[in-house]
Amino acid sequence: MKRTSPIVLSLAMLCSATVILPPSVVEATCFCMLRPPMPATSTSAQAGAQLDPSYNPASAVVLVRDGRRTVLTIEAAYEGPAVELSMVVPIPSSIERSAVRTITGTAFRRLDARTAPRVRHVWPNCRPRPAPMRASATADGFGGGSGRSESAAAPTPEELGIEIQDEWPVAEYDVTLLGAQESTGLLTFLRQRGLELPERASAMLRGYIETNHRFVLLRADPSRAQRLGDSMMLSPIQIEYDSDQLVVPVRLGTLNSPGEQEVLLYVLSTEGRYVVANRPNVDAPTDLRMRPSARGSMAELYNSISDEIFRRTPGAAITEYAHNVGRHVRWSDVAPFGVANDPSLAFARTRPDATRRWTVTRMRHRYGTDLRDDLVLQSASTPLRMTRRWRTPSLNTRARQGESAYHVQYVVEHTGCATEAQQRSAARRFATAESMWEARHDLWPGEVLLDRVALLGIEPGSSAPSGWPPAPATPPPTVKPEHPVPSAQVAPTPSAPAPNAHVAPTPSAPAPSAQVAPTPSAPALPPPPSFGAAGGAEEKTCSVGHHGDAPLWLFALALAIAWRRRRRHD
Amino acid sequence: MQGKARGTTSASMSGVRRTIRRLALLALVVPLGCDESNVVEPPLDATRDANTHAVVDHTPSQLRLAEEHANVEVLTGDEVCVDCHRDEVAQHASSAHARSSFDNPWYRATVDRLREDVGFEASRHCAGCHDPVMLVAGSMDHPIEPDDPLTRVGVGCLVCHSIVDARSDGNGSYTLTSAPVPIPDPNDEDEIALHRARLASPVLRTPKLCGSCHRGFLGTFTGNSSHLPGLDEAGPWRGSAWGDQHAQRISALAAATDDERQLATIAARQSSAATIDVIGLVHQDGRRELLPERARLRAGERVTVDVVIRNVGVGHLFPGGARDLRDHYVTLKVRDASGALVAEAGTTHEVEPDPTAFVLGTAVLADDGTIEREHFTHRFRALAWDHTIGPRDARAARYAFVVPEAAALPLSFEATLVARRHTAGVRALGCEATRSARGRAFDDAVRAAGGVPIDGCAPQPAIEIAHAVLDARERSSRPAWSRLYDHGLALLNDVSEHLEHARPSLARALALAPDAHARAQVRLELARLEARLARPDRALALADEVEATLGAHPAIDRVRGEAFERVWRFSEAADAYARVAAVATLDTAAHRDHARSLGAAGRSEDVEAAAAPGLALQPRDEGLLRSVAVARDDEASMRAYLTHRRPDDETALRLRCDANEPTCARDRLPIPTIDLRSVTTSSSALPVTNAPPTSPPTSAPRVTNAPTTSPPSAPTSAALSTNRHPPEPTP
Repeated sequence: MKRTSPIVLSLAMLCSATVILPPSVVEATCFCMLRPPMPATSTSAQAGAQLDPSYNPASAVVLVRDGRRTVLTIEAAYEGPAVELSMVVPIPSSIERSAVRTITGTAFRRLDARTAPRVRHVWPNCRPRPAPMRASATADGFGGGSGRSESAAAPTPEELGIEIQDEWPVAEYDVTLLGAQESTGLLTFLRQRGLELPERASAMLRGYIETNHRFVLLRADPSRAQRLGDSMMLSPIQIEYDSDQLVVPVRLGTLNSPGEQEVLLYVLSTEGRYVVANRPNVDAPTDLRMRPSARGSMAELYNSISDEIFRRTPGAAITEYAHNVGRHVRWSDVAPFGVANDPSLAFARTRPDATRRWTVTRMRHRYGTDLRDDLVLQSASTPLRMTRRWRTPSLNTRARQGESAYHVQYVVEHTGCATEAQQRSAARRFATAESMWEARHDLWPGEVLLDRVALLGIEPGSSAPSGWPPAPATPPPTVKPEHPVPSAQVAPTPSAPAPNAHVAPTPSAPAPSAQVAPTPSAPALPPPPSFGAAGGAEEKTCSVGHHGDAPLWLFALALAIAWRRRRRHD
Repeated sequence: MQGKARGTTSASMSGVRRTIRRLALLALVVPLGCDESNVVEPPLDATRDANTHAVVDHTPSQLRLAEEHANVEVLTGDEVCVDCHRDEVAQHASSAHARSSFDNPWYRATVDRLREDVGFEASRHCAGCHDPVMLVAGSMDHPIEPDDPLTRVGVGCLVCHSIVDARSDGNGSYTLTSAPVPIPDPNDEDEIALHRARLASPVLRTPKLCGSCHRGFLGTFTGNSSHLPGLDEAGPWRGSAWGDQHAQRISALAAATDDERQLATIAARQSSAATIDVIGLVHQDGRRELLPERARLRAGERVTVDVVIRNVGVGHLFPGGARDLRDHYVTLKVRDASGALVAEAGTTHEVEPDPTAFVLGTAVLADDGTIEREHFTHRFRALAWDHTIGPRDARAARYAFVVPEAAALPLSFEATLVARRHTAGVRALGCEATRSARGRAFDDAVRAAGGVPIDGCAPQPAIEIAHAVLDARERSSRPAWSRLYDHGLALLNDVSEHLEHARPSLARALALAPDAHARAQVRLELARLEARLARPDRALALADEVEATLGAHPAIDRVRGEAFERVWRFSEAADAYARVAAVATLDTAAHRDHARSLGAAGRSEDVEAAAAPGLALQPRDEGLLRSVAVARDDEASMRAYLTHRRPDDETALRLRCDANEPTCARDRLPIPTIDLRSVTTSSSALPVTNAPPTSPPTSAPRVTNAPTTSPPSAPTSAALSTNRHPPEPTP
């Protein structure tokens, strides 16, 4: 059953992409991607729609670091009406045209699924022992995706009829590289383009201007964007630059956020795993046993665990994965993110330099509007290892000396045996971005775990303490009629914001304060980008893949059906 | 008053010169006023040559004449100086100043190519500092022949001693007088006073004199596509804790002219320039043993070890001058307990470019992303890397190797810092220029004039500046805390994600520091580390501790400013930087930091006043110009900034270098990791770079200094130099 994807507005936080609309349609001092207010003559489905204020749902960013070379890929996932949107991205060095590219969103989904916390099923008492079902992130449900890199050679300004030489199209974007003059006079430049910024944004951008950042202006042209129904789907953006500093400037993303926001941060490097230097770093609990009856609750469970970690350690960076490429993550999974110093190798099957070992680190970070500084990344001084030794050898991690081997795995130990087909049909659960978005936040870990969560002091079989889950401090956003809450959502308490809702001031209301100081409570997570599905077989949604992958997905489904019919016939 | 002619020295003295000396000229040399206006473009200066009365355009050099006419005869009358100033003339005769012109094969080769590729006019830029007399005579606008006597003048005595004013702008930004020189009666005080007044302008005792030429930049006027800052001794020196007397002694010239005495003097002086150490071993499993000579190694494991070089004796960047020319390099040898060599790096660099040698210097990229190795400056496009070391600062290179299976442990480490004037490419260029027909003609002319030609093919001496042997059987002569402190200093120059690696060394140094002053010194670097990791509370707390021990110091406020700025507390950062700028008034970086933080804090009205002192010191500083442009938001200031910004294609060129040059990606890192060569395989860990033909493979004189590192000078409060600042933020 196709699940209606909620409207997702995701700000490209890494380079603090700020999204601007022409002033005539801005009704709130928004700094994220905005949908403009619908005109009175719009369709009935959109009638009465109010301007969405800015907010920052969970988003994902991949950083590739190779010496000083840095490749930043931002999942600028937006599902909304096809309107012109603009984003301003500050970057720390001058770049040229070939450094700005787009990739397909399936790359993010694939990486997410490969590295997401997962459930692993084992049948330790089965003779002969079937191979344990690895919750390996295959491409199930993701569609193939063409994997095309969008970094084609830019047409000349003459061919495009563009007067400014530093403007050219990349996929659905019109990209403008602001030169030194425009970058220095950014505010003037944007005004000349008819784009207005609120004062607070101007003040914040001033810091980037003074420190010699250059800026990239990306204007999404709805006529060229992928469509899904009435919605516009934007491609992830990739920018390559050179810098001594590895800093994730997330401050700009706080300007109009109604409360807390979350980012999945991936770092790909040959220098081992990474941590955040100016945040408390927490290793996500792993190697815990789940009750077999709770095997479908991985996302709910991990939601609660994450919430508890953030509540007890505000501003934490939770490490969920740290492992070499080649273990769960394949070279083809990371190649699109610019690991090879040659865009033509973006989708190579094998790594061009087998002697260099790349490590993937995945971190989850949640922050509020009181954020004062950007994320400073540093290489970890010691590798991160899982220490529990399982009787089933495949559950034990292996890695070379000095290398990290860490991923969040919760294990369901089945009694008896299962056929191979039964094993395959066993629900696979990943705490991917989308599954966590769709899941509840009120599953007490003690109810489903058979092991103690030492980090949080949660005993197996324990009941939720009174007053749990704590009510979020931020005001509940209003649910848009055109963005129904997915049926899997637990109805929020009156004080809790609905996961896919957002603050919606009336047109005459003042802009939401961006200085709401979050209290350490468990906020409702805004919806992540919903591209593809990583759910289990029985709850597998037939959500269409991403960005026009529907035809490929359907083709794959048809093949699968045909294959099964043939096997039965055989 | 009339001056009396004194002791004509040779028959070569012309009657014209005698006439001039007999003229009674009361030359009250008056400084023309220090024009400290911020010159943003080379001004058009034209004078008339006194001999031909033709208009001589000096641009793009910034040289100016005090008079309308340039009297070349006056400026070339050096031979009379020897009568009274024999020692000074002798010292000057073998100096780089005297041999800076077309009789210098390295200079001749590069400027000839510039003239050929770009044109005569562009070479006036070089002449302003290398051939000022030729410039004012108009010679640079014509083909230059070997028999032109002006090609052997260089920066003669009467060039510097005719400078009446100098500015901080570089590129020959001085004002020259060609007023006649009164030769005094040595018994006549009044005549001596006149002599001094003419020849000893007050500016000669200021750093502006040196900075007028020992600061340079390129631009479209020199055939480059954009502004490129070049050598700069004055800036780092001003920002350092001390001024350094500096004698112009060049080893290559001494060797090329067989000046043994000069060579020995140079070697002795350079022995105190820098220290070298081997420290900070990291095992394969991530364990660190700070002192590698005591490390417990396991056969077969891959380890890394750092070599740290600290500039302890040079008041500007080390090596200095045109830093792309310099060939100061590090060798490292690893021996086992039996003394057998098991791994090495950089040891063949003396003969040919060795990709395992860590070279202190800069690399500049041409427009195809390759490194320009022959100092053809018109090909310069962007800086690839800069491994030079600021005053009192430190740099490191990391070396990786696998402990051999058969090696007898423990291992010992021997590191050497070797200084050579020119890189292989430039040495080859000089040799080619010497052997050419034009070169031979120039050399013949030098001999005919009684001089000694420079042999560009002579092997350049490799002077051992510093040497260290780390052996478990012998303790280092340096205290451990000092070694660890230097190591931490060096690691603070690394990319941001590796800054934390400095902590173990600094923490250990703090524990071992012998007194409160030393502890404060270490704490300040720990504060700097915390600031750069965006942990302001810890940084500020440490800074307060340092101040409680040492009292207020601009270095402490600089760390505070950095701590605030990193977390976007720009207003507080501006206040901290203001205190730095108020004390370190000659430090351009202090004013730059101050102006930048004011701008970021939205205090635009204060930016210009904060930037003004810095622009007076360095009129073309990109950061200062940008702050002013943002604050003023007018066309003129924007144009000034845009003219002096770093190249827009700098990133693209660097990435192209990564792809084109075998070691570029490695060497562009502040602390490159170099694979040691295993002695058993004797094969290079990395392919040899595509280096141009090297010098003739004759053995160069190796000048060796003391075998152990000299102990560093005792730390003083002066060592808390405000020079310990990061470069202009590359965000």
